[in-house]
Amino acid sequence: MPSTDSIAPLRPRIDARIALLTTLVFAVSVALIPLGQWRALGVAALALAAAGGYLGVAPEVWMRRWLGLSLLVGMLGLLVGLGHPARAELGWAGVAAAIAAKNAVMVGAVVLLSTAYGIDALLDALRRLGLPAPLVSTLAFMERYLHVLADERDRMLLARRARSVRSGGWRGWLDRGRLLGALFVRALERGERIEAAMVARGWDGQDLPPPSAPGRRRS
Amino acid sequence: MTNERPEANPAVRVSGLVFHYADGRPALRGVEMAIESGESVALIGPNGAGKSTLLWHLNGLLPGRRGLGLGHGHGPNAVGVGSTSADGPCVWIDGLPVTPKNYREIRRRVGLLFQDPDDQLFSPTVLEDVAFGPRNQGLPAAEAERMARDCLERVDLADAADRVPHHLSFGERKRACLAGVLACGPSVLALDEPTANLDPRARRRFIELIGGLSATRLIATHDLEMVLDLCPRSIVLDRGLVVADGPSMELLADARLMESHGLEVPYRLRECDVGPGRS
Repeated sequence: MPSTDSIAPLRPRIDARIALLTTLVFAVSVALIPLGQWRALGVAALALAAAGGYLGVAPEVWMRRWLGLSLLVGMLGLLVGLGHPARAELGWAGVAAAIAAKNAVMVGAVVLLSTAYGIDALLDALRRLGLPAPLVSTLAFMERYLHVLADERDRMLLARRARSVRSGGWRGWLDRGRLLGALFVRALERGERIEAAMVARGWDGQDLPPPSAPGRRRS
Repeated sequence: MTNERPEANPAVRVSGLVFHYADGRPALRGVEMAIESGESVALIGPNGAGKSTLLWHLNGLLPGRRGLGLGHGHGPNAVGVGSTSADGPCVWIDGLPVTPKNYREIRRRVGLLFQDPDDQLFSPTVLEDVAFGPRNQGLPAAEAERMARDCLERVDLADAADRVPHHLSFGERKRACLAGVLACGPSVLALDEPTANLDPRARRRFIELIGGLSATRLIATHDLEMVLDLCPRSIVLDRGLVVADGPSMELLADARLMESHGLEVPYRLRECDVGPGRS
């Protein structure tokens, strides 16, 4: 069974809390760069690349994860570009490209952070930064089930491939859409069953116990 | 049906239990059964017979849950557990009616093992997941952790305490789920397809584990060979009704009964001929 992308975190020397806050500041700064200021955006991208080099993240791993989100970023650019006030000045394509580029840099920063530190360290950093425990628990919960859903997706893809002679063209995209829909329904049903299993062990719908201390988890 | 406790207090008592799915299809159509303390009983029947739905009622998860087509679906004559109907409750655990007022205690008494371990193991580590029940019972973190470690020891998973559930094998995940249920200290175990999808070695190990437990057990399963090993008594459920209840050796050897309810005589009993089917 194909498994999800699980690359061991690098555990850099910089405290995860500092890295997290730096990423936040960086993302906000990039968001504040006016559209069309390509030079400023280029500087931000260079700074990000330097940070990636310093943290020792393999570019191919970073890029692979980043590319996984690039479609979403592109769609966002196209959609927001339609009604953006700067369209008159930059044109739709210009606005869409600028929005996509800004978002790509921000997403790149977040991907870099998660690749370098891993979910454990980041959850712990969030907790130590004072994020409410239920929110941290919910994020830990989400991470746990991303793997389950990814496995489910892989099984469905495999089953689809096993029954497909051709998967290209518009029919292929239609099939992918149906698969996503089915995955969504399955995720909802899974959520119902998980909640039932929690209630069965006495959960009253209130706070979840906080996740474990850092470094405790192992594969 | 009245709100009074039944005279005798079996570990599990179900009387006149009716339940409809949200789309109106009947799931349980007046289930009657009683299980004495310490008994190990198999609940067998074809797919869609209502086995899992019945187990969910023992824990008070039904009725009243939305989604999965399982919620708020009582028909005109339905009496649901914990419903506000004048007819009152129809499931009791050790004499305690399964009503919303008693859910906390009921869920401490009844341990429900789900068929798919990924539905049950939601915490970042195995230890946290097993400690989830005790924490919900109000135990301090250290005490809950001690209990969790004890239960992991019982299912031979002490080394996996700090592991991520996703990285356990299916058999290990099943055992981790059982540890999570045991950590709640239940007197009744409701096990939903405990050996489904397990390889022969993991299945054998799981059967040994279940066999070593002293709690009252109700096991919904299609694994009839396991039934012969673990359950002296079987209840056959089909289309929401109890159609047979008796010694497993007799029921399971009754080819007519088995075939008429979508089951098969287990391989071990193929040579036996017990006689006419019962219903």
